[in-house]
Amino acid sequence: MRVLVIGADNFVGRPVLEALTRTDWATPLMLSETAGFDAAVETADSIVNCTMGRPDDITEAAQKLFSAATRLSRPPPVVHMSSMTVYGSVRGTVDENAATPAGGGAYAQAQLAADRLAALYPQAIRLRTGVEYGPGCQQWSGLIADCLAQGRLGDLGSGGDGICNLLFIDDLVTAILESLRRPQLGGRVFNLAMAAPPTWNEYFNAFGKALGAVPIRRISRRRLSAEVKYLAPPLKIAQMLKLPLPPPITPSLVSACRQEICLDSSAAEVQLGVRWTVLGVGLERAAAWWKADRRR
Amino acid sequence: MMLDASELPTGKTLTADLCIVGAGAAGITLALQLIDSGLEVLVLESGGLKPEAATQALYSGSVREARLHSPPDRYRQRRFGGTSTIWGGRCMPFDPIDFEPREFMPHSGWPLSRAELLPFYRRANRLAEAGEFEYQAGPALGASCRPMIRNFDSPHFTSDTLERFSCPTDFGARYGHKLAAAANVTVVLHANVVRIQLAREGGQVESLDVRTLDGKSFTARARQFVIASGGLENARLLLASRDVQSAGIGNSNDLVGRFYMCHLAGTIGAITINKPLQDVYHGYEVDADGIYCRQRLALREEVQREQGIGNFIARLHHPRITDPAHRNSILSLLYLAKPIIPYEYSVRLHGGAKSDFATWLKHVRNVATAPFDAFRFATHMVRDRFLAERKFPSIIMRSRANLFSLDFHAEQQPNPLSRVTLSEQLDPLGMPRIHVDWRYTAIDVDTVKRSLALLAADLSQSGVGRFEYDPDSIEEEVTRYGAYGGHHIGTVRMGTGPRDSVVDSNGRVHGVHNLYVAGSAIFPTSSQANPTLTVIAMALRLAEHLGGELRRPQPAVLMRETA
Repeated sequence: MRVLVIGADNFVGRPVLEALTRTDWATPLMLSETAGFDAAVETADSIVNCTMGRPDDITEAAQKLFSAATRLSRPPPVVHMSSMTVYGSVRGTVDENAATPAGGGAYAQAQLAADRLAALYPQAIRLRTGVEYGPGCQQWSGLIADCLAQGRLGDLGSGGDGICNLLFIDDLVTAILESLRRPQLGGRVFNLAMAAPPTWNEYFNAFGKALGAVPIRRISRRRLSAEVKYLAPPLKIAQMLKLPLPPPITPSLVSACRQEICLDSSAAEVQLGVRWTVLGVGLERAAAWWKADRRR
Repeated sequence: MMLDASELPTGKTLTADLCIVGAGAAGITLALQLIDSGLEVLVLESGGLKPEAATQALYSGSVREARLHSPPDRYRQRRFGGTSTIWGGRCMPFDPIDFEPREFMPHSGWPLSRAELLPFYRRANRLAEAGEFEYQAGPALGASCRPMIRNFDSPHFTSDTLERFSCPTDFGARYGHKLAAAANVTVVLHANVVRIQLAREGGQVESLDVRTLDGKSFTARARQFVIASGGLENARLLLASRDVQSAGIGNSNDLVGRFYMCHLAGTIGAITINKPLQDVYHGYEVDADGIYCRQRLALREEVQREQGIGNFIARLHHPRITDPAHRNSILSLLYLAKPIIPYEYSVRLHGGAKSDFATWLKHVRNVATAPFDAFRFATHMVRDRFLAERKFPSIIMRSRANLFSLDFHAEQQPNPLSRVTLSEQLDPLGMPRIHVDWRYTAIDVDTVKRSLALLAADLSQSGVGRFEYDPDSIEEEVTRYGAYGGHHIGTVRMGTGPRDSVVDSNGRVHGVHNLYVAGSAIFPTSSQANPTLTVIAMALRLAEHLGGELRRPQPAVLMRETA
């Protein structure tokens, strides 16, 4: 089976590509190796869309993919990586039938637009991912580890009572491969996050200990809002300019840490056979990766 | 959901599965456990989100001997979060011996064991933001733990146990957002429960009468009720509800309000350790979770049994602040800062001693002689206490001469003559005010006397130092500030039957099937430990019990009565 991986150069696409290479049933294809987008889509037996990054890139990739695939006489199965941000600011346990309200930030809107395009394509399996962590995951492991080591994140008090719907990177890769092997599930949606996830405070506490960044610091509400208000804007610019400055603690991170949303991913366990990596194991691997990565 | 009683129409009846009276450490803990339980939970809180003088004044009352007990509106807060808005955060569990009936301690023994409470203690520690439930210095702190006094092997005391410190967590500020967001919980602010209305035959609560200070009144009905309004107020509310049971609810054997305990505490004597400075450490350690922990000298359980005395702990402490002879600029700075230190803390820092201008000048001189030390200390207090959310718990002052005083905290025996009653005076809502008659006994003083003597003997026999104090001053010292403020224990005691207790092991009032009491009022004995952690653990245990009770199918007759 020839599997086209869109977004093969990011932290999800890379391990998906590697995992596909190791199988005896798939031959991975990348966009850059081929002449054009439409041609690549036409060549593939199956497609994985794990485009990430800027909102425009996410919507654009989805538009191009689904319009090209729809035009084909036998539209190929697509595994589309979506995000839990499509559920908006809802509270409580959320399964795949929950509403996906419009609104939210540019990133959430882009994910929702892409998710809705995928919904119109009967051969697409949508995977709504939680918080990806593990080796290679800069956003939720690398930058968090930086902030923990700098004493800028830790115990956020009531600001960290939200649920951290962690998804270990290996579990995501497994889910994508298992989806590829089950084209009959086209049209289905699966939430992907570990069962019984920790709160953000618990995540920061356990990850801080795995990193050896102890004692865990209590970050006062006053300090956190000062970070977001005064430090985040210049640090964000520095990050975009790739200057060697600490990462920003963004308003979106702070609001995620408060959101008490719990993804119900039991359907993925049953239908895709995914088993969640134990948190302690995942955090140890994330910590080992971070230490090696920052030494480089 | 959170709403204000002023938004409700007068005469309204609020209904729920469970009604909790009081949103302090106990009430909030209970309500938190029942979020998303499928049960409708109503929390009635007298105060608002901020302190208000008129509401707080509902707590005022009288005291038999003012010297022995603070005014009843001190050391407790009538507002959302309750007294957790001002507590000091010291956490430690009760010891196994505290739960046992002890022959030498009249009226001792709990109707449950410490082992039964242990799983709830673990969760209580988390809720109080005091880290792991690990109270042994070695396992909690590992290699970083410095011994309190190196090579001090005391046959009577252990220095291996810890006290841990909560932020101190204000339960309202910390967890209010969860209650406000919960669809099945309704918190009503400014709702004062003035009477518990029993059904005519007395076996169950029908409703609560609720009033606001601006003259509204309404009713709360529920299947189960929990009174969680504090160690003094719980007794007041039971006693004041006397239209069906004329002596007050649960008071047919005249037990409500009796057995009132606080703790005996004080600072005494001079301890000199003749060892190098680095061999003594009496300050705070920080564990991996960032929790402040401190070692203490705890009287061993076997020694309590052998000596026939109560529970007792002590800490090395700085010399008395008020006497400028200590020549310590920082202690003098604290003396001068008295006006900006909250009453609840300044009492013990400064004592009742009258200050005169000459003393004040001497303290100014102390500060002036070492202004840099004072400045450094002030910076530490601003950064690590005033601005920090996890606050440095107390003032630690190191004497270069290895000189200390001894700070102690001792159990009080349950004494039926120590009690709170209703006075003739009424508050603006028409409720009788409280009258406090706190007493201590010879057993209480003996616990302190013999513990201090054992410690003095152990220090000199081990050769590490000496402890000099005036044994004749002990009674004066334990009564210098009167009952330890804020620890209101025993007024609605727990036991196995109505002859010697008011509530059963779950906190249910004997003979009233749907009325429970939560908080330190139900503790039969007082331990050496500060009560808050145990209040939270018992509330967690009650939440589990109530969750089960409320989910059980109801007998048809009760359904009709409560409908």
